[in-house]
Amino acid sequence: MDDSHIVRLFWERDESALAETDRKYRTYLNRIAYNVLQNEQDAQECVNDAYLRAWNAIPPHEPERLAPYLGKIARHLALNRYAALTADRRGGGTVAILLEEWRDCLPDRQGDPSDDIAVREALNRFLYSLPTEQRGLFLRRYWYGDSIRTLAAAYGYKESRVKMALSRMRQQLKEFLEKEGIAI
Amino acid sequence: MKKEERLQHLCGDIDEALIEEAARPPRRTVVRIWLPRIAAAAAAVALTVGLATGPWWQQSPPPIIDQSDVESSDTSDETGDVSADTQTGDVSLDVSDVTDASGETGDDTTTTTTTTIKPQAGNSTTTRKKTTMKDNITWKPTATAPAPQDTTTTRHQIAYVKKWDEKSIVEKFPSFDWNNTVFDHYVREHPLLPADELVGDYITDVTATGQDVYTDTIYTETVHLYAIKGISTKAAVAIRYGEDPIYYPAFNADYSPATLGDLIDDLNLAETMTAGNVYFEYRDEEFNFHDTRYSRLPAEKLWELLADRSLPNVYDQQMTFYDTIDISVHLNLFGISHVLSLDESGYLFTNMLSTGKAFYVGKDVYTAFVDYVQNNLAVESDRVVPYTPAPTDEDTATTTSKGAQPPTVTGTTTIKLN
Repeated sequence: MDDSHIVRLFWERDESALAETDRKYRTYLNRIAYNVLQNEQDAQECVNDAYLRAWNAIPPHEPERLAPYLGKIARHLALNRYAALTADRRGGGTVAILLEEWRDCLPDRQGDPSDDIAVREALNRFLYSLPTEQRGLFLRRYWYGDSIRTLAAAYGYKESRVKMALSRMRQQLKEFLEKEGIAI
Repeated sequence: MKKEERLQHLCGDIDEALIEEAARPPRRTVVRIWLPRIAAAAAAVALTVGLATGPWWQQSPPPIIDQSDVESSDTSDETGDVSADTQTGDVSLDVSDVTDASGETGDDTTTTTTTTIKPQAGNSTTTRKKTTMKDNITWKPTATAPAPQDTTTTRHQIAYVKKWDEKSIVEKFPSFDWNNTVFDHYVREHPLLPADELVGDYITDVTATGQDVYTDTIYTETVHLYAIKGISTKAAVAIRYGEDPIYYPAFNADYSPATLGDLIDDLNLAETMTAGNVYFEYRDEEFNFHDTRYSRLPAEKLWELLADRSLPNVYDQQMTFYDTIDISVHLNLFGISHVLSLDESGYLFTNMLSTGKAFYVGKDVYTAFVDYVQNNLAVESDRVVPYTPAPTDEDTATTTSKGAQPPTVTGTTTIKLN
């Protein structure tokens, strides 16, 4: 079913919206959650929670792009759950690795942190400044949480090349945020 | 929250177009027409592999694939769908749906034979025109109506477009322009009764258009506009069609008050709104999920939330609200119910008249309100989903069926590309 029709079902409070969403996007959302949690059962629960959140958010929301809209919710829930799990020392290590890499992107600038909107807009500008392929690589690593091996297979690169490309982009992002006067 | 966690968190809200783009398979540009034949053949094989990988979530095994390794019913359903499609050689559904999601036709991920129903002329699913929920009010699902006479059907067709003569007057002419603003009827038609008490001064006449999508005929109808007593015409007006004596409310499809006070005044909420039950989904200390309905919220508590009339409306479509506590509110005049919610980050937001409005009230208000609800309102229902802890290392060492690692892809999920 077309996304706009699924959104319309949400707006009409028709519960088949959830069934249609599940049929179309469970695999997509499950993978987002799984990449964070590395546990199938946790990922499935996250996806189910994401459906409930979507049900409560639409309306008033009217997402033009349903897949990333749902993906954002699933990712947020997965990261929250990851935080809860790691608090109990039961979490996996993928997010910890990604956080280490995110640390490379932090600007040196000190002072009051920039507000969320400014940081988000800077991230968007940086990403739009990248060539499409590099941008895809960056997002598949840091938004979707794909492993280096998966990225190497998908892009037809050696793993070392993926690592190098990501490392350069992290450095570029750091410089970009500094240039933009962003403090985290 | 550590700095890197904040950056990771904020990255989650980047432009959705970028997220969508990244989910598409990377384009391969290595094939060059002057390559020697054998190299070209090798490149073609590589390209075919690239095509077969599909979008991001199909390129490597998703966590749920292998039926033999997974026991949950959800997983079985998922796998069953894939198998059935494979057996019939028809895998176009998921892939074409993905194409829809990306907003592109002819994507290089696959070939597909699936076409989709066209509910209205020029409104196919691949049209990326910005629409609002108020468009195409006739597009309602029905389980009993016959299928439309349309040769471009999908095997998942669930909707029926009424014939012109089957439509009510409101369905025929669901919206109109007035003062460069689109007004419409929301989803339902609800007569304003008693009209003499509710309908105010006559404003003007406008012309509404309607389309018979079966014959592609455009019809017009005169609409008489009136004020609704106590309601701002920026938000809603009363309308009457031609000689029809019934008055209906019509709403500004883009209604966006500047402040919370404007919202209260424009809709005369002090007179027209009543609070209903409170709904809250949360996790307890053991991480069990609760979906709880509490008793009706006292009016004075509702108005405490709405006390600061000066709060600016900061809503935009990019906002996403998490961990909300929801109050059902009824606009009795219009016969419609909406939700007034607080989210954990401190936003008070509502979908009244089906447009988004958000006001920052602060995290403390959220915390205090949750505390009030949980300690003062009666629990009318509480659905609890127990948390299932992640398997320990010992579990994963002895049991592979619990899914600590993604199962491998089985042969039943092979995708045909013709």
